[in-house]
Amino acid sequence: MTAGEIVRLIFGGVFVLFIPGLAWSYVFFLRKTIDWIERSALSFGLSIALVPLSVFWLNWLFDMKITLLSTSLTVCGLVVIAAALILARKYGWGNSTLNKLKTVFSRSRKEQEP
Amino acid sequence: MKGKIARIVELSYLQLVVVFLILVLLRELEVLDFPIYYQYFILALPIFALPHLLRRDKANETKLPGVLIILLVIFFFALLLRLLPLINSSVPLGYDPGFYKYTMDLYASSLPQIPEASLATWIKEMYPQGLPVLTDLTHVVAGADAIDNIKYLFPFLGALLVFPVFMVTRNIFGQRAGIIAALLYTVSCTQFEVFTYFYLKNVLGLLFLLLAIYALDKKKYVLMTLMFAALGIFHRPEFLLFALILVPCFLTNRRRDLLLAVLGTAVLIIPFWVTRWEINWGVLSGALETAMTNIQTGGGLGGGTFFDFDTYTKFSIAYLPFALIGGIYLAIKRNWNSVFFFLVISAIIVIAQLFFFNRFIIPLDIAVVILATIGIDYTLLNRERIWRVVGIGAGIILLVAALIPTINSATDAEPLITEEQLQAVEWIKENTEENAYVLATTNDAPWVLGWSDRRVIAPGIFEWDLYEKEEWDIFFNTDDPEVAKQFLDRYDSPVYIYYSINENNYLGLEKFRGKYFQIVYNNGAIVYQYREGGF
Repeated sequence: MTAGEIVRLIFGGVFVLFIPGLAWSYVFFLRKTIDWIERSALSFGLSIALVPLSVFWLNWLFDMKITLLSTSLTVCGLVVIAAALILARKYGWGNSTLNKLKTVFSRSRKEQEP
Repeated sequence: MKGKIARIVELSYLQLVVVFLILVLLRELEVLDFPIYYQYFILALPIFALPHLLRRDKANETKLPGVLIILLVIFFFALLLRLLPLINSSVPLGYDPGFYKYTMDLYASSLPQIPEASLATWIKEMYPQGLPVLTDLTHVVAGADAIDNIKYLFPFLGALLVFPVFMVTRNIFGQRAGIIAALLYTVSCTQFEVFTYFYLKNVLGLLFLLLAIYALDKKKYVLMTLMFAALGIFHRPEFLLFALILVPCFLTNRRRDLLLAVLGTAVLIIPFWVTRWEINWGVLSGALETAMTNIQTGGGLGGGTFFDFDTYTKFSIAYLPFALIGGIYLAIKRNWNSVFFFLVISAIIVIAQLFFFNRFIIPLDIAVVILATIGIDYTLLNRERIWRVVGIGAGIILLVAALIPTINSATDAEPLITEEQLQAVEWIKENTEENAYVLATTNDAPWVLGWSDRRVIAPGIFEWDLYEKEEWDIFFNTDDPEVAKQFLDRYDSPVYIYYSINENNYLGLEKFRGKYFQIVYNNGAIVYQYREGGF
């Protein structure tokens, strides 16, 4: 095995088997709610669960081929979705949208009332 | 008076524990083996522990400094144990690596597609899509081939289980119990045997099972859904086990979230299960049928390849009584948590021999390890003054006694075939026609399949087997080259015969002495070439 292959094995392994799960672990557990032991184990577990699930779903629905590009994009997509969910929670985007909908709904109902 | 009796029983418990553990240690060291049935202690010790359990509410929790460092040391020790057998030989342990390698290679060679339609039935039955798809991904991104996964990923995952075991135990029983559980997992001979049998799917199944239990206890139902779905696509027996654990959990807390999580899991695994609906349903209904038959007949069918419960009690005798103490403690406190159900359900499957019961010893041992920590922590370590010292001493003896068979197993573990024999298989790959068949015994077949890149004819295993068991029996028992020729003539491509010279491997080589057969390789293993018209 050459040095390049070893580097690819390590970084590629971390990219597929750790990074997506790490991002998703923050979706389920905020910072400081769990320690690094839990976060690391969850990162491996979540990555090994999420990446094949996503790739198989995409292959089944859209006949996505398993290539370096498609896999990398899937992994990046998983990280981006996790980041979006974390940001949405942090800035209360989901809540404000929900509250606005509730306000609109209750206003229209009041207008309809005789 | 009552208190005095309780005090006497309590002190007798500690003395009995010390005597029991010293006896077990001496037996493991092969110094002294009394002709007594050690398994009686599994029942005796919990009875003596009862006064202590009834009196105590909860162990005094002391935060240990440097937990991460302790766990890392345990992790590296577990990893070292699993790498030890690989120092002397590059051939993987167990019977299954050939099956794994073939399946991973087949998936990799079908890239960029997933070869669902063209897969043989035995692959669909043996391997849910999760693992081969995962290895496809590590192949395209990290350049890892099947051998890398077999050599590096498997020992790593085996050692990684230290962390989920710690997490689940700490979450329910506290930090000190978590550390004890991680230690017990590392010294558990059963868990090491999982490695020597090369049960990669089992290890992944345990990882997801523990994380699902962790999520369930933390009430993180979306996380639990993902882990449950992962079980469904990686390892069906543990998927079924977790489904069974959820039933009493739902009955005790009636949370709607659990039903939604089950529904979510069903949705997530749809594409995996729809494509193999008949096979998955066949596996599940087969398990139920086996269970019914075993209940009616008193059992023993379909246990799976692993050692039996008697052997298990021998391997785990040092910590088994403490698991029972832990279980009794939870029952006394009416603490019906997921780990308790985990122990009870897996114990019922194993002891009542319902289905796949030998293989369910593997998750049972994890439940035993987790619950044994309460027994050890609450009845040995959670004491004062001199009795605390005695308790700690007993705990150390317990760990050493449990470690000895594991160390013996790690140092004695040998691959089923030698490096020379594997080279003979690789010779076939390099020196025979690509469309050739290779006939092999059941012992040799997975290795030939995984490493020769040729179609393998073996009794009752692969899709290229054209014969019934009786016809195979005739072939194995004959000395007549004409009978062998007739047997092989049904294959229209070149045929080779591979035989590794090992104890317990029988092919009957006399029948290959005729003019139709020629030895083309002979070093640790014999390879014959068959030619229909003779040489």
